Amino acid sequence: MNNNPFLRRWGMPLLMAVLSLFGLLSALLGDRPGQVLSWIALVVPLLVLAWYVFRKSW
Amino acid sequence: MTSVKNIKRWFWWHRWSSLICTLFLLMLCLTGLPLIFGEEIDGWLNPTHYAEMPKDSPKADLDAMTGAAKARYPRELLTSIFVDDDEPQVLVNMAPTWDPRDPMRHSLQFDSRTGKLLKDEPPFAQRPATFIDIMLDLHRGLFLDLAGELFLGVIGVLFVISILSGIVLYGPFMKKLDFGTVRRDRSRRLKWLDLHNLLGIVTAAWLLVVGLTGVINELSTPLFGLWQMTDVKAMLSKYKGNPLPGQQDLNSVQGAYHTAAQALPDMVVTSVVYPGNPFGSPYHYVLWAKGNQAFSSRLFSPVLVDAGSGKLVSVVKMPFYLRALEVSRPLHFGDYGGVPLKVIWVIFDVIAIVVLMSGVYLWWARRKLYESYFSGMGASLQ
Repeated sequence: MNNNPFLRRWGMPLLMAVLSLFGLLSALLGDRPGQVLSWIALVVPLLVLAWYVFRKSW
Repeated sequence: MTSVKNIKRWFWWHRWSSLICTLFLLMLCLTGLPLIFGEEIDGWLNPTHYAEMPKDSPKADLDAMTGAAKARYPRELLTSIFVDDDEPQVLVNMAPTWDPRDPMRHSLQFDSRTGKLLKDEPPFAQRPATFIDIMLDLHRGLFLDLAGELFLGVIGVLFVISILSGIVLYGPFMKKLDFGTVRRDRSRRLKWLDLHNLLGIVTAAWLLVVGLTGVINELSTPLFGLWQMTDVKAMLSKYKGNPLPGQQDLNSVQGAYHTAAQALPDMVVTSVVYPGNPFGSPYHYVLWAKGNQAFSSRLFSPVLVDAGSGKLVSVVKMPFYLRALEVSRPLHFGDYGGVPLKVIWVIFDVIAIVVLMSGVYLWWARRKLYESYFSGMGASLQ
């Protein structure tokens, strides 16, 4: 992934976007299992953010 | 390859679309926070205590409830009924006139199982607005009704432009940086620039969805108006000239409810709009039914029942733009995935506030930032 300049730059943003969109839709389209998947999918971008924002100051 | 001139153009769009909408967006994010938990907060501030009864208790008769309401207010009109599918309550709405904004409109709350009157609410004009009402009025239209809704719709479009231009700018900005780089040791400005980009790009999809669905929600009045002027008008044109039923000539509302429920066995009827209501039909009861699955429960279908004969007339097919509006609601409110989804919504909302504020800060400190932004892209752009 690091060798491809496009993926190096856009890989993570795209992954975050796909996870977010999947999370937003799965709770809408599915019942209980869809909801649980949605929580997981939407929490991942938040955890990624927390990791990059707080890693050095801890 | 993107030229510096091109990037500067995107930068111009990003700066100005953001700056114009920031103040309003900050208001939207702040008022939106309590609205995410609006139902919980309202239930907590104004609790209703329902009698303990088995879950499958039969429903009380709607005719008895409307009869009791009419007996209390014999000179008033029954305008609509809301049959809650969440709490065991039925709200009977009344008003002296058909004006949907009549300040004397009011509702009577009944227990849906016993049919007992629980609360006779004061008229709309005399009812103190709840905290959530105020937040919602501000959030939806700055207390200005339609004008405010359309204005905030335009603000939403600017917000979407600022997100899209921000995504475009992220590319050249990250040419020499790894994902997640936050340069803390150089200057405050650089640190906040990196944080603004990181927080913005990771939440971009959520921001876009909530922004776009917010714009669609602001268009709900014109969209329903369009539907009424086209499809509804065409549907009702064949009844033109028929005598208008008065409220005393109406067939049983419980009968109409039953007819609609039978016609749509997989759906739940949640409201009845009385004949004569400007949001309904002069000749029919309009009953709104929704599905009983996660997704279908967001999609409503109106059912027409003849006001005089009580016979089923039709199940109306909704146009695509109203379907889009219906799907936009949950995606904007975040109320479709239990409490965890609401908490996630709150966190995204708070991050959006940080992105907004850091954006303003970066504009404030703009000159040096502007230089470092373009120098950071390095020689590859020349």
